[in-house]
Amino acid sequence: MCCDNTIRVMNDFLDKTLSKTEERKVQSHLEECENCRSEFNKLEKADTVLRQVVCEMVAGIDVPGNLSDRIEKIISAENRKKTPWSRVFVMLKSSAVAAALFFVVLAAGFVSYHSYSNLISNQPKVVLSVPDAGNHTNVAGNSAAERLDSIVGENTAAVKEENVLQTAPVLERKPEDIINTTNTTEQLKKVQAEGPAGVLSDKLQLPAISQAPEILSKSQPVEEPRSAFVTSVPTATGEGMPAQYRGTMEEAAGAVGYLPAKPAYLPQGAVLSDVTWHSGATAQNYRVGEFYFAVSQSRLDAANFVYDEMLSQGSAVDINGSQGFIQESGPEPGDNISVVTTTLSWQKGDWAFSVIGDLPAEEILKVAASIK
Amino acid sequence: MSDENLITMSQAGDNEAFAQLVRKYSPDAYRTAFMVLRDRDEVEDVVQESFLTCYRKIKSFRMESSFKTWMYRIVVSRCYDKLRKLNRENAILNKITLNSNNENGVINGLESRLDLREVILGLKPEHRLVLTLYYGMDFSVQKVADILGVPAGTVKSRLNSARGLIKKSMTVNPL
Repeated sequence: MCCDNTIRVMNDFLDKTLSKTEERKVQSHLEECENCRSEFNKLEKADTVLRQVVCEMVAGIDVPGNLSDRIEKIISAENRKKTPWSRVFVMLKSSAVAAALFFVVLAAGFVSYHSYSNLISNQPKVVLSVPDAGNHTNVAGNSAAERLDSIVGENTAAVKEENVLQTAPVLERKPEDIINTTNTTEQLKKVQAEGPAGVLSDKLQLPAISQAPEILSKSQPVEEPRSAFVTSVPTATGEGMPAQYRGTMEEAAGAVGYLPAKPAYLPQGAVLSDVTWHSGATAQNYRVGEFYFAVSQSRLDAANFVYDEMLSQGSAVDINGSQGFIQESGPEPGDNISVVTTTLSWQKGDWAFSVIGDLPAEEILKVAASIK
Repeated sequence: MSDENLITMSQAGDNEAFAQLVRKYSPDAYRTAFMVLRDRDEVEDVVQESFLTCYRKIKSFRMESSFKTWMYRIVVSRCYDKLRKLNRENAILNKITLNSNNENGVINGLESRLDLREVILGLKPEHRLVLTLYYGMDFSVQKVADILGVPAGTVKSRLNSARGLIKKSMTVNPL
């Protein structure tokens, strides 16, 4: 291995993220080349110093002695709220918010349920209706309006504790969480593909509105508490989100069901490190010397709505006739370490694309424009 | 007792088991949030909210990642929420002695570990977070990427840049 290549991968060698073959080559070169060995020693020292200083800073932070106790008290207070009438009271207090959010969820759930009911052929039917339809009934024979009323505030004696508990947090959810529930169709299709399941599968995470039939379908006992949260957006809070998979382009294509569109233009010297994927989204990870960029692709659905909002704060650009947004997060004054990260996102057809990386905007745009 | 056991017991309604998870992980969660936010009231708020969220969602936690990773994702998300709400960067300390005119990018003023601390505190919170999670909390590059929801390459870039700068400055003034 030559000096240029050794320098290029030196950080990866330090982090032990090279393949065994490459690692051996670098090791061998370091044993023979004094200059590269000297550079590596300096890099190793810099890493050590950085680690020591950061650890000292972290260790030097005084944690309040009773932090855990205070957290436990808050959780105990949360538990004390879990009496039937307390829960009803909580729901009543937020009924104004509940009413507003409820109809948003209802509309989303109705669309989802429509797709869901088409998928279920052998399962007991549970009918959901919009408030003004009025002529659908569940298997227990109650009207839709009565069901909805019971959720909002009437005597909840007939309602299982877990379901009401799950509903309460829903009322406090942010709009973007509600928006995420429109991915129920995708979630449901996935569950169906996994095998026969009851109307209320263990694996199914339903939005609040889909709990209406669950609560009142007396012939369908709830087997275990359901979560009222549905997320398929790979966000940083992704509770229980699947691990990110890594492999070749072919492996990714096999896993997600589509071949990621590869850019025809790449900056000189760029190499594809690997492809990662999760929840149907793929990321082609490229490296150009010390810098990195990634090309992401996912199906366009309501999940991307949140991203659209965030990204519309950037500058508008045209990517082959589609409108995209580009923004740069530059280093703050005084910050001599951070590099400029450019994020470009656009939608084309059924797909949402992003190119994000430590390249000049011009290069990011050229890469994006070369994706067909 | 292992985290898996504590989680299973918590999911079954054992609040003492969850309390053990709180006692185990809340101090480092606090330190991580403090490295980002630098304000004790805000940090306490973030940590309490994060563990309350963990508690509320523990039954839906499927152990596809570790509890630690899952919890840190929530803490990081809360930190970002707080930053957006506050709409401000952390204060840059007065004693930053960077020589931004140096063509080689060497920090001539980086003469001590104290100055390196100030440099780190002067970074954007997101970049400081990468250093904290990688060096302070000993997460791997991939785990840091998972927690932050960014490509591993972005994490590597941050680390490489920080190391490169320190390396150059050490040529002038060994630390």
